[in-house]
Amino acid sequence: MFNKVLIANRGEIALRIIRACKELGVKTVAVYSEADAESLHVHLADESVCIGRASSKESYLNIPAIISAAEITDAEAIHPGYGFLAENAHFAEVCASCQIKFIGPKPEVMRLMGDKVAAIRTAKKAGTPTTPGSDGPVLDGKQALEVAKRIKYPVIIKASAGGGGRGMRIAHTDISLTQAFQTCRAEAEAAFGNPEVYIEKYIEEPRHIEVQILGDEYGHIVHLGERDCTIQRSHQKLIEEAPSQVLSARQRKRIGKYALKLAKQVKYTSAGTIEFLMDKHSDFYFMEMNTRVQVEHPVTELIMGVDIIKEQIKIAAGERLSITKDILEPRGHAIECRINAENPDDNFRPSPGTITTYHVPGGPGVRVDTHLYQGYKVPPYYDSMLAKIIVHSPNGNEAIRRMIRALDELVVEGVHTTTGFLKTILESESFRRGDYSTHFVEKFMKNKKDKGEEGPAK
Amino acid sequence: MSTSPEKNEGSKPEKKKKTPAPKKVKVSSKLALVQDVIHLMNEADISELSFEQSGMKIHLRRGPGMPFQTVMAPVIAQSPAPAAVPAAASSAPSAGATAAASPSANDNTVTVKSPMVGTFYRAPSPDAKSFIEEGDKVAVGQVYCIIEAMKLMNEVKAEVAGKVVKIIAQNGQAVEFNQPLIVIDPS
Repeated sequence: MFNKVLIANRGEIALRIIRACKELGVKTVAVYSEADAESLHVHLADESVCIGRASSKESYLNIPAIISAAEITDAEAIHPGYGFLAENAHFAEVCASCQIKFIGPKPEVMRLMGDKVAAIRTAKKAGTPTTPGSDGPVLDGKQALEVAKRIKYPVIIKASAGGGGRGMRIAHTDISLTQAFQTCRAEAEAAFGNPEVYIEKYIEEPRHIEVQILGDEYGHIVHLGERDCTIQRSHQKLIEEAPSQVLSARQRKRIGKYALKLAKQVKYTSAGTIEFLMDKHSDFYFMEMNTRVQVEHPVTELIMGVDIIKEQIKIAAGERLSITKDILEPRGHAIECRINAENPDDNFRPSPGTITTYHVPGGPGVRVDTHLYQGYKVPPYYDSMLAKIIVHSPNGNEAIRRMIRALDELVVEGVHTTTGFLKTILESESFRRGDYSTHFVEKFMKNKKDKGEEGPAK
Repeated sequence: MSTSPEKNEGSKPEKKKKTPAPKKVKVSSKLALVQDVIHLMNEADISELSFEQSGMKIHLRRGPGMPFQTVMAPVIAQSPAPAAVPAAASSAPSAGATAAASPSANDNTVTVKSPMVGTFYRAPSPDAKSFIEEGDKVAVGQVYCIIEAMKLMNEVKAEVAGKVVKIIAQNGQAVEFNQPLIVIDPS
């Protein structure tokens, strides 16, 4: 086991990793920007190193500063968390060349699965069902039209180097496709430095189902079941749950098998997630693979009784996976709500500021992953997520009730939060029925707006 | 302009509205500005203030029962840390010495802070002579020290001419971003 690990991240995930390290008897080094000097992860780590100014580029994305911090503190390994450098293959290579263990998959695998086009090709080789599409980059407008004719409208154009819902456009006709194709290439060049795009069939009313993978360095790979992350706003997840309310036992088994086969195909190590879209006919289509730990990992941890971060650290330290079965049985139902410092009534505008009052919910089956404390100044330089409220109950209905109860107890004053908004989603009939697609939030908000014009807002 | 008003622990000083007797100084336009700021601070009962404008940086701090004192420091070219950020009050020991963030209010000295994370060396190699010693006069562009990061030696050069008052960091010490290294008296 490592003597000391450096956490190359901030906020709640940095805290999460520090906690796992403490329980494993591993010393921790926090790195922080000037803006995060009073952050909880800095206070709770054994050592801390200021690495630069507030901007991400000068701090959490600053590879030389982070490596240097690991060297001066004699940290043997670096956990990158999620976001920032977590899926940066170059960073993983720099770590290796400096004899620092990168807690994550190998750089070659990160590169392979990080490139959307290459990932789809790999998925096909593993027999994973993929969305009908161009099967590679689309080089010109003529080819785009041919692809659309073959797979039929509606189609979606995606940037190969894109991700997180960025760099995508939908087209329903030849004319709109020709225009969208050019625009997409230009946007991709500007945003990701790579104009390459590909085309897929646009799946209407999809659900987002993803599977958690864990693999050790001895070739032993398991999957920890699926998560349903269909409740999204502008491709950002708001509510996640495990297991999915809508999968049958057979579907669950099938999607798990696909994910496991793909992970074995690339000899995956550490934690990763394979994302699928499920259409209204319950057919699955591979979307992408995230070669890192995800924000919503807690819901899987609760139903599977596994500590994913600890497993990552153990795997990186050369230990064998302690989970012996390929497939585990889930227990109960878990839901996570992401609480963001945003104002839902003002188009979700970010709301940085000082947390004047903070009260954390508690009681049975409630877990809170957060870096908040009363008096904390939420900086404007980073993402707006404040906390993750996670509940675990024997079944879906009780989990929803428990989450509503927990959100009622939560007090965050001084900044706007999305707590109330999330609560109304959980209380809605359609959410309880499980009858929704990734367009749910869009429809829900439009509904609310229309209702608001008729009578008093609820 | 940023302000960081101190929490008033006890009763406010009763004479807070009275302006203190001005120090006998040559009144240039710069100092007239400073005197205005002092007056404003008094009126608004502000205890500490940092102010930057066209190459000039002022830090004023009101001590308990003491008249105002003015500090003028040339802007450190590596960009000063935002004055409102408090020094990390971490109970966990940070790499190297604890960081002190702002220049002392009692004199004209400038604290040179580390522009990067690494190991501080006073000489170009283990057997060579140190770049500077306390008491030395330094010119702009002169090398103070080396910070080693990822096997690369980075020279830290003087942006201010003056006298080396104190070398805070120890040879071979691990330093973080903004860690105080050397104190220079630029006068």
